[in-house]
Amino acid sequence: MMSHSLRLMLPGMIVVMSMLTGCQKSASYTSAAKPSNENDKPIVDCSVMLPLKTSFSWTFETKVDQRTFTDIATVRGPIRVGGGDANLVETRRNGQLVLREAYRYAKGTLQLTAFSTSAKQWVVLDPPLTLLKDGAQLGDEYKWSGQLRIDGKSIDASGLSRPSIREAVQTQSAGRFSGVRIDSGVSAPLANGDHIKYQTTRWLATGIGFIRREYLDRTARRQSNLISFKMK
Amino acid sequence: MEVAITKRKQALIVVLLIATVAIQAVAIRVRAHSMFRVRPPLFIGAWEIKSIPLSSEAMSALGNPIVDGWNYSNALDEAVTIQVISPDTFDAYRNPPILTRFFTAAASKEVASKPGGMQQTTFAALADAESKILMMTWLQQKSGRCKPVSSSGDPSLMDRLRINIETLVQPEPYCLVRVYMAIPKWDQGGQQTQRTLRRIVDAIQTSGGNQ
Repeated sequence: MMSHSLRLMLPGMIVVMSMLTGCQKSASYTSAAKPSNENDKPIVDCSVMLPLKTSFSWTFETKVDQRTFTDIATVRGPIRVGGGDANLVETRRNGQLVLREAYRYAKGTLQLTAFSTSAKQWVVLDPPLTLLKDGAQLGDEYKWSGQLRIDGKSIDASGLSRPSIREAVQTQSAGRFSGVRIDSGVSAPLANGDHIKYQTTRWLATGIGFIRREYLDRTARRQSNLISFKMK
Repeated sequence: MEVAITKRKQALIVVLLIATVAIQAVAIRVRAHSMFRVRPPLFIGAWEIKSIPLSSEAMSALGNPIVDGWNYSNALDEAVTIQVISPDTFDAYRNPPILTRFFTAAASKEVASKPGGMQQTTFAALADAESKILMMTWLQQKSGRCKPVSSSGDPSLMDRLRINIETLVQPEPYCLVRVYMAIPKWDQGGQQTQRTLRRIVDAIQTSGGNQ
């Protein structure tokens, strides 16, 4: 049982310490949000997250400087780039090539092996950048350290990919899908103090592939939202 | 009878006052001899650290603490801020997010970590409900043992009393560590930010105390 003097002592000490240290601001606190069970589930098979059969295509709406464009990304089939086999995904805007990316599955991983914004040259990632692995958990980070090879030149670079969150994406006419947001970035310092950067975010839904994409274009992020997809 | 009780109360308050001042003074003196400050690892996976010396304005706003400032960044242009505060200036140190005035402590809880407890606090912007900072804070002893501190992120009255008494009873060097990161708008539940902070915090708590 608390003695009389002890009962007196506690408030007394608080008063004295308040004088010495200053009163603290009080606030009503609640627990931070807990992750749902859905987020604890691993991504069992990453090969179904991005189907890469030739002629599969995704049509996107992309806004650039208050103008709206329609982009069509199409799987063009197997190609050989940077000394390895991959599947080419080509994106065109009004018939003009805007982006080429080379993906492949190897040893239970989905990898990006090269990218390009022109038809003439590739930027080859050596080794390929892992985007996702079988059994991946949200928050897993895949560190990348290697070289970017451009026109026979090699530049040391570092990077990272991460499945970050599950997100429901409402498309314009294809429906609503639950996808995994995968953030990736590669950065290579140049001699003049500048950097080569390739930052992309892909939202992938099981059996459908891209439901949203986002690319860092100079300093602005360009988001492409899925309108429809064809799988035949 | 009443006069006797009043005199007894007054005497007790005076004794308490003297005792508390003595505890505070001795504890500060003990702490003043401790130069220990955790050094975060240079790399944590794909995260690379940079020393960020604080400006004189920032130092003044923080209460002129003896502090090491660091930033971890990655290829996604994400950044996590680390501040390691010397116990010598622990009492003067103010809470960085609160200092911006636009932020207030919105949620707080004590969370377990591998080597010990820590306090996780979410700061929400008053002006813009979408702007949030997540901060984790703890006391780390030279042996690597970690202890949580108060809910608001600022050392509370009871924290200070507890820390002062612990300093006297067990005078092991320690420092205060704060790790915080802005929650990006796409991470609405702050789940990825929590995972990122946990990864950084676990690495600092595991390796920092051994240096």
